[in-house]
Amino acid sequence: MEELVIQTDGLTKRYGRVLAVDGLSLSVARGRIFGLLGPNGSGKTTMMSMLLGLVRPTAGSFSLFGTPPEHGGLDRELHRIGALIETPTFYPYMSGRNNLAYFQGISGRGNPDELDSLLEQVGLASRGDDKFQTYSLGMKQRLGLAYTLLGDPELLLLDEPTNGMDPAGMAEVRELVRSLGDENRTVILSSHLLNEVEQVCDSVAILSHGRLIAQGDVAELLQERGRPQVRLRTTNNAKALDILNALSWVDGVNPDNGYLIAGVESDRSWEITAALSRNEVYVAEMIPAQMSLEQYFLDVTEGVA
Amino acid sequence: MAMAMQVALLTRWEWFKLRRRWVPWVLLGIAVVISQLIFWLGVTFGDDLSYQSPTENIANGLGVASFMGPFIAVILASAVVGGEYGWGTLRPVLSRGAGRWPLLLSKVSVTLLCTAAGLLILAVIVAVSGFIAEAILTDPDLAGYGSVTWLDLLALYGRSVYAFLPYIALALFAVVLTGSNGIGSAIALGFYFIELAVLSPILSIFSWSDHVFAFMLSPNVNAWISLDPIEESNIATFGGIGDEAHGFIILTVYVVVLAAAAMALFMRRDIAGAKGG
Repeated sequence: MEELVIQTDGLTKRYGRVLAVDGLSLSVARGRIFGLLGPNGSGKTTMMSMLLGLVRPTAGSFSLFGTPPEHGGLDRELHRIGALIETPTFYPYMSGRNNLAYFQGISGRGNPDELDSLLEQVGLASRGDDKFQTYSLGMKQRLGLAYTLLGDPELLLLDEPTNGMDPAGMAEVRELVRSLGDENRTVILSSHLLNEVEQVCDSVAILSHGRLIAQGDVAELLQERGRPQVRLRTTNNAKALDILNALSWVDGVNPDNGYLIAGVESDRSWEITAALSRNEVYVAEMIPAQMSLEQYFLDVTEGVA
Repeated sequence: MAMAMQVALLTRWEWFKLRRRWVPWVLLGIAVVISQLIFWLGVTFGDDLSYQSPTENIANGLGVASFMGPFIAVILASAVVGGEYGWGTLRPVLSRGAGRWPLLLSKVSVTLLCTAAGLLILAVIVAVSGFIAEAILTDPDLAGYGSVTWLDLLALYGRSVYAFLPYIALALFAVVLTGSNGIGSAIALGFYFIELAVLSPILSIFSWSDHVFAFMLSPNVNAWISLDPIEESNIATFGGIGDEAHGFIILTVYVVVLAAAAMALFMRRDIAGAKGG
């Protein structure tokens, strides 16, 4: 049986009339890279903040590493967690290195040599002695990642960690998160970038209006929901669209960026080729198409209020 | 024991942060300048400052430095606590498992230690000025504290430091309540000035004012840190327990009530992101 690192039961947070998190029950097993998806205001950050003891739940309960917080105190469990919530906030008048030294110091573990390797790991070695207030948003995010890795935590909570980064930086972070997951750490990754989550995460939870609307392995969710499709490019897409629409065994055809997406089992692709060639339309390219996480996300969040 | 160790650890790291800020050094610089102005104006215009012995000079220095103590304590405490709200750094600090009440206690500790150290520095500087004044003035005929022993000095220093605590607690409460360094320090300094410069003169008009004075902060601070409290203070006291004891009790009540209120608020409230200012 998998060890659960996070377990929430009916976790709820209300701010006045606003229900930020509504009876959230989810569980995350050790060693998973878990994506937390949802539109703005869906409760992702509030949920993470409750797990860190920064926000008090209105109702419900949770446990970290199988232990519920004692009288609202989580301090022992927090020593096993590295968390970055929203935009990284550090002391502006101190250097990146001194900021890390401070946070390492207050947790009372780790050694000063760790700081150099962490700055190196996140690509800040040359700017480590500059003041935090001189950093760009991308550099602040990098320092935030170094902060989360202080003390070699078992669980990482990363809230939009690539926000403000350039494409190369985003790719580096994806690689870093993947490598962290390979080291048997548990990573919770909250992101608006569905492509990023799809590339990195093993499983996801989708929140909307504070409620959990889907949870599971990425591949399984897409398989359950997704219809069989093929993606094809032809010598005459307009004519191909009419031909395929006329076939009773094709479940819908839609143009998509110079391609056509046809609802058909991929093992019937030869029949498509035959039908098109009979009408002097020839297939240039055809591949099985899987539903993307983005399509899935839009499907399940559509109309949820 | 573990909690005490945690507070000590956090206090050490609070100092790590504080010594890299401008605030403590600017405050110290301003306090040195003002204390020197007060001292030399007093000497020049024949105040009752005494510079007849080393202990008297130091006592005089402590007296001058104590005058500025509340300002420094309030501004420093507000900066130490309020900065965290402005920068949004409470989130990363508490996410590291620092613990809410050890964190707040460490901030009080570092403020008190820095203010105590500042008081000592100011007292020494004023005392040195006293020796200089003694050497250059030909007619040092002014009497001050009379005979002051080293033990008296130690007691005066301890009392002065203790007298900063209610102001630190006041600033702590105001900053936690408002979540802002600026507004918090304005409230705490406003309280100090209103009590000292507005309420005291108004209340002194009325005959029943002694009973109100008995529960105000600044008269009790004066009674508590005065070397000759019985003669110099005229506030009403509980059942004739004496001005010093009365002052100590009132100061302690202020500290306990304000610190407990600040702590309760800090423990219960959700922690938001950066507020700025």
